[in-house]
Amino acid sequence: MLAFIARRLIYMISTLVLISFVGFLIINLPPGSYIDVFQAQRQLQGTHTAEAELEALKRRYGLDKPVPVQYWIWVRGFVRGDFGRSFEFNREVSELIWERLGFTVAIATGSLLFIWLVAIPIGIYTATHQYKLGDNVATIVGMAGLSIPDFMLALVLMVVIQRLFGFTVGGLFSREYVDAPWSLAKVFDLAKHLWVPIVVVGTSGTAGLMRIMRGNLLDILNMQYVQAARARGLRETTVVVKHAVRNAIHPLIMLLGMSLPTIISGSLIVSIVLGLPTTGPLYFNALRQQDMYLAGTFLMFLAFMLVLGNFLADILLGLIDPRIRYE
Amino acid sequence: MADRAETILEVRNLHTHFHTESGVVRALEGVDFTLNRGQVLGVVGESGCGKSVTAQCIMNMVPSRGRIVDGSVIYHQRNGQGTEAVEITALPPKSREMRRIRGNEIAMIFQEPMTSLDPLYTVGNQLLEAINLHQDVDRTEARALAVHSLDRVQLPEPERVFASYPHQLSGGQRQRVMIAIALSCNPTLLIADEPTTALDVTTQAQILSLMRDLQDETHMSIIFITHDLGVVAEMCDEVAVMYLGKVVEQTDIDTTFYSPKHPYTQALLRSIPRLEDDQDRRLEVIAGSVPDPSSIPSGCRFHPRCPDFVTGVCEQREPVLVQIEKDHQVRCHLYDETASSQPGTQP
Repeated sequence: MLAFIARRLIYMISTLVLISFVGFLIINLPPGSYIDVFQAQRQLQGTHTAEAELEALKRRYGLDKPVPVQYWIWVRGFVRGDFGRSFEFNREVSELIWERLGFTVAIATGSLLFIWLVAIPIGIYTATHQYKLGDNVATIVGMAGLSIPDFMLALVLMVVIQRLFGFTVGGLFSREYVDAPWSLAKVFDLAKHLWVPIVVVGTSGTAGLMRIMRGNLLDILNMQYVQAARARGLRETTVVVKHAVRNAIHPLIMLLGMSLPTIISGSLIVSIVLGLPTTGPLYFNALRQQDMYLAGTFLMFLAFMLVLGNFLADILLGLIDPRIRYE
Repeated sequence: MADRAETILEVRNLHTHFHTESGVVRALEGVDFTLNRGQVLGVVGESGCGKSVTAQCIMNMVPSRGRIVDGSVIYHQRNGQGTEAVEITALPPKSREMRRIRGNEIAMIFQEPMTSLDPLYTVGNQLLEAINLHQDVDRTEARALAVHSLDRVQLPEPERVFASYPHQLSGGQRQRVMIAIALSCNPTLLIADEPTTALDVTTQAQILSLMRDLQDETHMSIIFITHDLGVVAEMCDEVAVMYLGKVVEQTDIDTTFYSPKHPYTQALLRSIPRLEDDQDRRLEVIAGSVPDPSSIPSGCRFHPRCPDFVTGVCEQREPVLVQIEKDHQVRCHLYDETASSQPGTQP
């Protein structure tokens, strides 16, 4: 087991090194750099940028050096927790991300919990009541949830709530609370806003997971060991929960591992539509503005979460399935 | 052996249909047989004739799309003084009474030992499930009983097997475990649904002899479902032959092999290779093939393949099960007095 973890860690690190290199290269592929974006913005504002000023910027960020050198300067800092500076915000990348991480994780974990708590029981119900009324209703609702794009649902919800209840649900706080210190009223206000992104992001995820759970469980319910358990005289709930569901949950654990990066990317489009202060929109802007250290760091984080998610899923699978051996 | 013939299970006119997208599949269309206490009944027939569905009906575990539409299964349960008839088909499948019978009074072993045990739990865990459910014992007693039942099926190192996961055992060992689980609560009736079909020949022989020994020891009744007449000859006292969802003949083992009455039974026996046969002689086969369950022939279901087919009778009227001797029933117009005396009459 320990040897397995050690070996997996080595794989993880080498994967991440490779990703960091390729990712950095791709971010540098588009012609131009942040300097050009900066210049264009200045021109729009009607100010002319002095050649000397641009030179100074270039030197400060090492943009005059070749790409491999830039890469090395950037990567070197990782060990110290230094991920470079954002051109656009002129602040440390780590600071920027850290600021928004709390809400991002809150929304992502909230929607993940929502998805699992809703989808798994419905999936079990629909599989054990195949083609009955409840199954058909759940299938129709699930298909609808799966086919409505989440940004669309976000817009519709915003409009409906605005019209019916008279308050806006964009953002995470009402205007008066944004800069207010933490208080009970502020927490209440947060909860009032938080459920919208959770439901929006959760809906399509729930629909998908529900179908997967239903399909898996139907397969398992036909297995002979389920019949054998029933033939022993076990209660139907014991048969389903102990023998069928535990066997059907395997693929879902793998899926959970793969959905770990969404905690960071924080469902980008929904966040932009709802104006949420999460890391998603920040990442999107960084890519547009060629804010390369910020974008690169995001990319690294996403890759790290994916690799970590897979690693955790493998360990978890090993814990629940005795057939999996670590050698 | 029981001193006198005492019925333990009666299956009467059982009809079970499955509702599928492509229509109703009439899996069972009249299954009748009787099993006496302490006897081994072989249920024989080709694939798809409804042998396994019959077993599921006796356990009251028909898959959700199937429904018992007619007939009954009556189990004669022993209590203090005598016996009490329980109509299994009248009990709700998930009811407490049904679950008390399942595993406790009537146990079952399955065709595929490789998939009969849940891969996520140890053998011990699944064995204790049955014991704790049906017997009033504490933890140490339950464990001792479990290890004892593994020992009883001649598994070496029962303690080690107890702690093993299914994937650590071979097919033969797993089938022994299944038998141990089935017998752990001393059932009076064991249903064995092709228990040796998936095993290689040597393992098959070992499992059969084990079952024979255990039957001698416990005097339980066994319903042995198989398509292998060799296994029947080795194991059974009585035989019920099924064809397309109906029992066509039931009688004792000697009559089945030496003077079968139903043309289908006769044809089945002729299609077994014999050692004394001339090597150049081709093996006899039954003409035609088993019809699709959605297009069942009219009249007697066997008539298109029957060598003794009587025009004007067999394709017109369904034969009924007739008692031709004590303990010998045949579903064929050839032995039905009322039918053969008026050939060609139409209803």
